[in-house]
Amino acid sequence: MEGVGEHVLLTKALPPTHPTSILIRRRLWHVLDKVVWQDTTPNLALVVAPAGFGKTTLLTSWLPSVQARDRPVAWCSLDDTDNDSAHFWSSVLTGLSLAGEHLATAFKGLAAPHRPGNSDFIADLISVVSGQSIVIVLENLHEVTDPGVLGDLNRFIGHLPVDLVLIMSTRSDPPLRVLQSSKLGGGLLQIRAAELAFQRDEVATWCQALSPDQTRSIWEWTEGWPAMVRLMDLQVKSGIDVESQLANTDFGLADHLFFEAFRRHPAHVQHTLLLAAVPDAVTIQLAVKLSGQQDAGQILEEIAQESGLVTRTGVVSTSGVSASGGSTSGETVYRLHPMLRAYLQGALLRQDRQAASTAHRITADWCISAGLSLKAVKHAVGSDDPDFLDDVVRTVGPGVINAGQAGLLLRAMQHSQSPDSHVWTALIRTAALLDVGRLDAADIAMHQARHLIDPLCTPEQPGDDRLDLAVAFSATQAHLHRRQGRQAPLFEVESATSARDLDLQLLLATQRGSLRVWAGDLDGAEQELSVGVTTARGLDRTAALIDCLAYLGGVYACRADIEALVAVVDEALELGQTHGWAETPRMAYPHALRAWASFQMMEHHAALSHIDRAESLVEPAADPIIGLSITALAIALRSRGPEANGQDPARIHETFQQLARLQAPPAILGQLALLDAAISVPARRMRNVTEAREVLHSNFGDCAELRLVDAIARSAHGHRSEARKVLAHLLTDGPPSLIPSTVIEATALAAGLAYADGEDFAATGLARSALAAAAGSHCLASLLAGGEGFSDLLRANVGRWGADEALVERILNHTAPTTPSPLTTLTTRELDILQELPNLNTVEEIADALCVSPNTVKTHLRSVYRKLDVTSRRAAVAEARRLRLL
Amino acid sequence: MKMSMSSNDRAPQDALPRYEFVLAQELSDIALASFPELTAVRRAAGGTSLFGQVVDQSHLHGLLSRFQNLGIDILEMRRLPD
Repeated sequence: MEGVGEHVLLTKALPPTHPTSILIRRRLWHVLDKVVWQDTTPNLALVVAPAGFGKTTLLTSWLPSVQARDRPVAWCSLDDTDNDSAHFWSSVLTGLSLAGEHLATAFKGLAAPHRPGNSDFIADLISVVSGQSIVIVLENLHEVTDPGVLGDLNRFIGHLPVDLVLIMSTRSDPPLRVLQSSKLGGGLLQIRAAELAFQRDEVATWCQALSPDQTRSIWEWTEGWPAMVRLMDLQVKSGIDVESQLANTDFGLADHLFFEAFRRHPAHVQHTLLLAAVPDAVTIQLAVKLSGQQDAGQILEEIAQESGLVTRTGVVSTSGVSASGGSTSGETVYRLHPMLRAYLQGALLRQDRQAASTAHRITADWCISAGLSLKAVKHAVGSDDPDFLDDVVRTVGPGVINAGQAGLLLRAMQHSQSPDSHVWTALIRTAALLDVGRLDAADIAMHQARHLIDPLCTPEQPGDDRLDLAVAFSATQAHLHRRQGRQAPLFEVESATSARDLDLQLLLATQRGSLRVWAGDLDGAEQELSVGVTTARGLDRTAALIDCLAYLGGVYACRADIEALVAVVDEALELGQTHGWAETPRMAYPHALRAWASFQMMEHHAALSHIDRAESLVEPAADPIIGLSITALAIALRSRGPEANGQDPARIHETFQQLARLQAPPAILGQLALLDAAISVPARRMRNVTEAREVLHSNFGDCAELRLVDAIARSAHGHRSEARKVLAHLLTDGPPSLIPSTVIEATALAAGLAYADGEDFAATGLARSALAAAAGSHCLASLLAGGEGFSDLLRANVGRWGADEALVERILNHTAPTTPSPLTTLTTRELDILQELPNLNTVEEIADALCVSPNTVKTHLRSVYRKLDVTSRRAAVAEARRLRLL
Repeated sequence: MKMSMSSNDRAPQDALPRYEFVLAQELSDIALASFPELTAVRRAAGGTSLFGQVVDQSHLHGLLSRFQNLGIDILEMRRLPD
């Protein structure tokens, strides 16, 4: 639940305490009881009515009776931030893990996914919750409008385990398709406004202290609208002639009653209420700060006792959480009834715009100190003060982006009056837009920042704020250019010293590190990114950590250091799995790098499965160079297997040319020229080879890759001696290489050619040096890139490789495609069942679909598990995907 | 708080659609203060009409939820012809 402030989640996972005096509504409890305790009724309930109909009060008063009968209850108050997949599911998971002591650990392994549409997560969640008999309450579901989040919720409800109960409270019917069919099939229990409204006898019970006439008047005016009954009752009790007032006003019922309720409070109470309505939840400390009244807490408590329009949410402490008042170290959080809050906000705006702005600023500052960055930005926007907003965005923006919440940051900033009138706001917006892959919008925001920075920026000394700005500006601009595939000269960031703020430092390290990889400054990149990795670990910013590790992987890939590459990229992939980034575009680059490493280590299946993942996750427009590199690598990898097709030479060459038009890293261009040649030469597309040669020449002048492409072309034409001459020159005092593995490839090719010429001694000498280099760097695939010659040479001399014998054996084993794949060992029926596993169907449903008995399915499943060497359905799916059986 | 979109996707002011919300009741100054972007007109037949430009769907939904928060019933809502 990284990035999502932990205590925010805790307040959201606690049902508010209900008002001290409430109407016990047995008839509605009875309806809800049926959902939980009767097997014949649906396990899905919808409580839907406008504000003030007592939805939350009903649920909070009823739930203790459920808990008393030993059913765990998971509470989850939703708000605007839950329009984000990670936030929404973190809220749900927090609620679930607080539902009971034995559940606290059950949900540990589940990471809320950062992208909607992650069916593995939903399947895992369902398998963890089933059998737990939890009652889940989603309060304020109307706050969630994001189609992706709703889609996942729809899927979850569609597969709701029978022992689970889900209750949703909302102001409007949620757009969930599954509810429509549930409704039709009688699978949804609904409590709507008509049921929630007080009935006549309930009004009478509530208004016990009043005369029958007064009670009748309240019934007629309010028609049982609970919040209005409550307000009117209070006012009638205190001697106000509400009936004649209402008869003489054109204002609406709520408008009038709230005005009256507000008006009769003394001035200092009014003042406290007006300001306490600014944040969506207020602690006593914050209420005191906002109102300047030392007794603000007491005022809120009194109103909570008296009117029920202010509720207390459980006490939250740093050490833990207790349902209500169990802990003394924590802070009490008050929530104003949404209607009261809306009314007070209007009143504050009407009375004193300046005070409203100040209150937003105080709340924003408080949010920053409480670690609630996104809320701080929202209140800064609410303050209508662009200078203040600029300050807040600059303070919290980098941390929010590093935590992978750039999308939410943009959402929080979107209602700003003056979106980009200040330079930090524009700059951080650019960085956030880049993080979510919106290059065009980032370009516009950057343009704005450029326009704003000129008159300001003349840094004088380190520690000068303007220096931070200058550094951030140049790094962000260069990063934008790099992503657009434009030339981003290194000198733009060369002078950059570190910013003072750690999060800003980290953001800039990621930007500059990637830039250095692209520019071929590998040592500089390694240094910058290693610092980034340490900082990201220290600050617990997983998204930035994954990015830094991946770019560091880029450094090692360019150096052809496969061992180091695997270490960092595997960590990035692992973090992706454990922190919900697995199915997001962020993981495309790590998967692509891992595919390259697997390819070099001759793990063909793994290479294909990683490149598949990379291709399915990548957003090509978000980083065109990475997008094109993935495409090229995918073509190259598949051209070696059964998926090879006649279009490969044309496709890889076209991709190479597109990359050449952008400012791709030298190592990528060099490597792709070799892959292009390796695919084009056997297909006799010699024009491709000539063009690839030209690209290399015009970009880098003479280089080892250029010579190697030459040699490959010549040997393909049967000009072995010319090819050997080119290689000999390359290997003795030839030009530098763009990527070190080129030398291995050239040496192996030279060895293969010498062997073909019958010069065994020269051939084995060259082969030994190629093997030694490959053993050090793990670039085994480079040995075989030059064709069959080299493996023939190895095979012919088996037993004579001395220390390299094991390596030779490994290479030869991999070239002979004799290892039986599970594809051939699984029976057709087992494969049928395997196809069904990723769906959420039960064994019974699979049996139904395949027209066999459940026991048969179980038998097949056991043998599938055995053959794939796994123990669970989830592992079977993962393994099958890895082996490309799915 | 006036809603507006970010500079890059903001439509020109005059191209924004205008909406009318018809309410059964009159609005107090406090309720009106919650809709600074709308203009209120008292209707001859009683009740209130509120007019104004709506930036996008999320603005529209925001307005509707503000009405709901204040317990105001909407009799009618329509998009005015350009």
